[in-house]
Amino acid sequence: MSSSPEAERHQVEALAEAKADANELGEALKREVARIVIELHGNPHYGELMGDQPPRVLKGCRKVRFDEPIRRGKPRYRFVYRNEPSDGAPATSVILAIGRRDRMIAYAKAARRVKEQAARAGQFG
Amino acid sequence: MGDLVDAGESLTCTTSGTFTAMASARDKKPMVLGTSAARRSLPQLVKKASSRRKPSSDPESNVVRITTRGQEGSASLIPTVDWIAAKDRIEELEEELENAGLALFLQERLAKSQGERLSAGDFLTEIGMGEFVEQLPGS
Repeated sequence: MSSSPEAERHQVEALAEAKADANELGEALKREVARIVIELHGNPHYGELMGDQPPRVLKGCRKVRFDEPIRRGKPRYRFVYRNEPSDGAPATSVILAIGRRDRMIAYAKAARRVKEQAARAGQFG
Repeated sequence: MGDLVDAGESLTCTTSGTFTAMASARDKKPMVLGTSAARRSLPQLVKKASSRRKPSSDPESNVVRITTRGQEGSASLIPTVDWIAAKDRIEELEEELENAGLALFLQERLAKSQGERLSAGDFLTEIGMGEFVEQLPGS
């Protein structure tokens, strides 16, 4: 873990909703979340940047892929946080959401269906 | 024993008793072989598929379908470069879809959120991981 002056001034906080997300996970996954939080304290640029392309809501957001340590294959879970401020040395990393990747994909598909239905309703309504 | 002739972009398979369909990159119809013809032509089919170094724009263009008489469905022989390229593309699209889903999810969450925040220590304690709190800097 890094202990640079930047990292020492840096804080980690979590939205109450993210705590609820974490509480839905099993013990092994919660331990992984805890490890990510510790890592994040030392390294505010942990994980991968998501906001290099639109949509704007992702600006400054980063995600960490994780899963149970004994599980083989691609990590199924995502830990999403945002650095504030998004440019320069971050003062705070805010944990925004923790959840399964496939739910995010399902969410996007559902949103697309709603949009298509709305477009059809607008066309025929 | 039939022989396999490479006719430019298409593969033409002729066998002693069977004249099979041809795959053409232009009309995108894959070559279809019965199991017997496929067995006889397998070394050449694999050689041809293995010789491809660049994936084609359409993974269907170099597919050989193998069918069994009297059964629906088929198996497909596809060059590995095309298969890997198709898998990579799926991953790329899934990543885009995941980020789009996350963006929508976060947009909704941030709009509805009361903005209540917990410190890292409280977060760890309240998810039952209090044992990690002492690893936080300054604790």
